[in-house]
Amino acid sequence: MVSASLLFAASQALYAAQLVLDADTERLQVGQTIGLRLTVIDAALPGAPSWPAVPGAKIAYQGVQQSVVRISGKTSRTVTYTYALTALNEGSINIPAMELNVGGEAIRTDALSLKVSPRATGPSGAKAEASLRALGEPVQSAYVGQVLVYTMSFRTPEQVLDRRFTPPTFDGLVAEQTRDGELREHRTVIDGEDWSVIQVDMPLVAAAPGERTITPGVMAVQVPELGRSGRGPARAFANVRNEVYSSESLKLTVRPLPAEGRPDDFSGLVGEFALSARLLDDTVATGDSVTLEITLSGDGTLAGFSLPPVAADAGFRAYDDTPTVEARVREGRFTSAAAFRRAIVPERPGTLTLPPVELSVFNPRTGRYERLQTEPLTLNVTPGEGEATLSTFSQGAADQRRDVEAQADDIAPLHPRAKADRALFRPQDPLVLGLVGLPWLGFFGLLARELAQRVKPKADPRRALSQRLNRAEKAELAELLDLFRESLGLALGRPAPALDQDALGALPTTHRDEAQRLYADLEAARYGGGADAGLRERTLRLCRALLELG
Amino acid sequence: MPLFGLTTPLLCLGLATAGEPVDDALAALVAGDHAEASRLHVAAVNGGALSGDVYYNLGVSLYREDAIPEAILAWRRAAVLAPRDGDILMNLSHARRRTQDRIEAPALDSWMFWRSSFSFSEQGWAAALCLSALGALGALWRLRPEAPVGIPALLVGVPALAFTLSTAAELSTLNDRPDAVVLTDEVSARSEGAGGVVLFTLHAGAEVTVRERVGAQALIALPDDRVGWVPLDTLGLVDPRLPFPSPPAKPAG
Repeated sequence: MVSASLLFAASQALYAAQLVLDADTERLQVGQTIGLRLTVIDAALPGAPSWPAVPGAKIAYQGVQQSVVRISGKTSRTVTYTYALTALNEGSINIPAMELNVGGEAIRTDALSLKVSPRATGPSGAKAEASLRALGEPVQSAYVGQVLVYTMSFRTPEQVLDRRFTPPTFDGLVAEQTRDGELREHRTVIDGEDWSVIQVDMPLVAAAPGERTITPGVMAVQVPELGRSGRGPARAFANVRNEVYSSESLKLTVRPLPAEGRPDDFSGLVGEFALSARLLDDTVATGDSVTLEITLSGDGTLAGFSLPPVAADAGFRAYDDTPTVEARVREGRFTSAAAFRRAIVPERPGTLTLPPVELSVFNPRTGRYERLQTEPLTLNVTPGEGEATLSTFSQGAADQRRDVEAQADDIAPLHPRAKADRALFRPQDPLVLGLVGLPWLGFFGLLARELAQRVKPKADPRRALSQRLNRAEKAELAELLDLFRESLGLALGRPAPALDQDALGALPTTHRDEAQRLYADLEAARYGGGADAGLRERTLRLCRALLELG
Repeated sequence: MPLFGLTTPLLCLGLATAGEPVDDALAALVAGDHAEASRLHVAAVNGGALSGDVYYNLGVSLYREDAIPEAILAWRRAAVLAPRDGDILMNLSHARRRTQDRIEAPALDSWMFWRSSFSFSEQGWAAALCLSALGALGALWRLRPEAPVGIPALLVGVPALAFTLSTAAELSTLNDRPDAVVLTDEVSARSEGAGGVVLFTLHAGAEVTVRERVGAQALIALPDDRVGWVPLDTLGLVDPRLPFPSPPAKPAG
């Protein structure tokens, strides 16, 4: 049916934008949810249209779908917005025609009417009831500022697996700030049968006078479907069934607070309150503090309330702590209590009588303004060390100063101490180069010196021997022996200590004989055979000759 | 001669103060002679009196003369020298509201977050001092290997690295990609220098970034990355080292 109507509409909309509203069915029962579709053909909307409040129904947006339909050779683009409509009350649901402005052209849907029959299926006896309560009793009228509790109670003989509560629209009421609403679940026995009970309590404050209508609250529950899977252990595998229940709508008359009898110091509190005060100590030294505890409790809201200030000439100073406010709501009854802690600092010794704390409140039960008052309290003040330095509030005139008013907006004023500072930083400045360079120069210099010290020069034995020969003009026998051996070692390529006379045979013939003679003469001289006068010259000459052999 | 001997190093080190021109300019500003104050302030900054306060007061006198783009330029230069001065930022906000082009400055996305808190000079001197201390610690380490220089070197080395990097970045910005303020009533940004297509038009006081300079043309960029070529002489560069452009002559009467 839906597709056919849409096709028909699309065929009609070959040349113009159109809106089509249709529902899954036009007959439904209380608690039943059906699909409601708004189709836009050949037009574009900035977003999903929102529905006005429809009596007896709850409409929730679910999603959007787009498609292209080709009819008679022309392509039409359709955008379908889908909503879930739940019937809340028996009777009829009249969805008014919706008019939208699309591209400067006003297009509208037809109105839609749905028939709602009583709930045909579901557990007998399941019921949702709502009420507005004050002091636990249902009320239909209240004063501005009075705290009311919206209570919705749902009960069913079935086990509730899951639940979702949708609060109504509270026209002219605002949520109480110190306490959130509560949702509690419990089971009870009625006529020997187990019932699941869900209780919702929401504290509200009447905000504006007038006739107010509270729309139905909706409770969606999930219960086990027992028909197919049976009872007992099989219940764990049972299917589930969704049920939606709604309460009836409520009427409320909110009245303004009466102007007659309204005191000038009316505190703004509305409700039945009790006020008490006590001193935590009855003796205190001058300049020290003692705590005055003031408790205010009742059935009205205490959000934002503060105690009236102490008179300037009271003879003591008072410093208020941040009050502690606690509120609770249970069974349609709202109560709140505020504890104020006030530090009292007496200014002079003697007996100090604290004046009573007075409050003017409005009692909605009597419909009159009432004055609350604590008992006067007496405090014994002993002399203290700080007595001489204290001054009373009554000295001098009251502070009548006022904040300086801004008369214009302008730029910030000039800077009177403007001086030309140093030049802008330049990395190439000598000061910068010196500042950075000198320490690093020192570091690298020290590093280079250490490295130089670590490197040992590699001695050239030929050069070293040549230098020794140059210095050996007056060499003694031991030195000559050493030079001879070193020279032979270099010439033969062997270590000097390992040489003996046989090794001399490896020398070239040009030097071999001379070397053997010299060897014998040196050995003889070494063992006391005496040395001839030319032994030094012969040794040095042969050493130089051997050195040249390379 | 002794005086000359003392003054010369001071001038070399950039520690000399400009003195009189700044005082005269301030006196003129206090007296309400904004044109004279502007002239003297410009003379002072062009004479080397580089100070955030001097640029700030130049901005004030220019603002009073209704030279909004020049005032913005002066305050932008002042912000380079004194980035923590709240008055500068407040006045810039005031002046920007009187310009025609809404150009939102992009958020500072540099990982060198300290750049916005320290002036270029502060970062440079901090880098120099930290590097100097690091070098001295190195020398001490070589002289006395047993000296505990590890932790001090780390404490000095990290800021040295940070400030050296940020100083280099600041220097690169000032030299290569400076910000600029449009000083003429209107300028067209073109695709190819003087002969290209007009891409967008900017008005006096618009703040841009110069990406390239070729001859008498500058390639400018907006915060949304649009770029175009404009004549360089239509811009005032946000570089305190450069001469400040002469303020416009106030029409007589």
